Amino acid sequence: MPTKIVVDCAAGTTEEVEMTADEVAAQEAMEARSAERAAAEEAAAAQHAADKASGEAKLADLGLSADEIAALVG
Amino acid sequence: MSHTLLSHTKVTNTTTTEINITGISQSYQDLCFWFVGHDLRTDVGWDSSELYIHLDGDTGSHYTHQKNFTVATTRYAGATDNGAEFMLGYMGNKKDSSNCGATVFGYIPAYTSTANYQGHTVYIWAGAVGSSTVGTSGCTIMQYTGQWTEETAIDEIKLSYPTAGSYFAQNSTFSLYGIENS
Repeated sequence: MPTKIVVDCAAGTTEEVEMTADEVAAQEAMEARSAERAAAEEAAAAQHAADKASGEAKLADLGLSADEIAALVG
Repeated sequence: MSHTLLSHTKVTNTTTTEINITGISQSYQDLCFWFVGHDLRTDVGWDSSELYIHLDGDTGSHYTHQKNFTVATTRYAGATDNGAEFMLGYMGNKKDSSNCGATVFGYIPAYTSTANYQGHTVYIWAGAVGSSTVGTSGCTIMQYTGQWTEETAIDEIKLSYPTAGSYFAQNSTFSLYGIENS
């Protein structure tokens, strides 16, 4: 069973105890939400990268050099 | 500005998934904290470990954040309105024995206030770096602003690696300081 460290600053105590079944279930729910969020962030980044590549290709089609495109888009 | 150490926690076991600091003194102006460590997992990418922060044990939908971060050379941005935690992704683990360590610095102004507009702001700078000399290489850096939308004083901070099989590495540390500005 996973454990948690509980520090009570007021009492000056530290203990490590096993997590309850409810606490483990709550962590599993957090994990599911986290996976959804990470997938959304990665999808947004992938779309951004694709848009960037497409835009750079169009600039190249207009006759800009690679250095000129790099100077423009950073 | 003076710092007073309120707690310093070092992980000694391999089963720890939470570090919960309670009973935080209300005698300071601000709080700041350092986490140094990583996730023990070896079976996921070095950038897949997610560190969560909760305040006052609250797991309601009261955590909003905006972050900008870079993984290797790719820039990302993320935001969540009314989430159930502050989630910092890409916080290091032991893939390929990389011992990719994470460092998280956080600052919470006016943590005792019960009259902040829209609750408490938490400013976070975080990063994780793995070296090719010890395993999988990679790095991430993150700027993160979180808003906990509860207008209650903060007396508890919890860090966790919630993913199944994700534990704090031994010798990971969490230090909490009270800040006095005068």
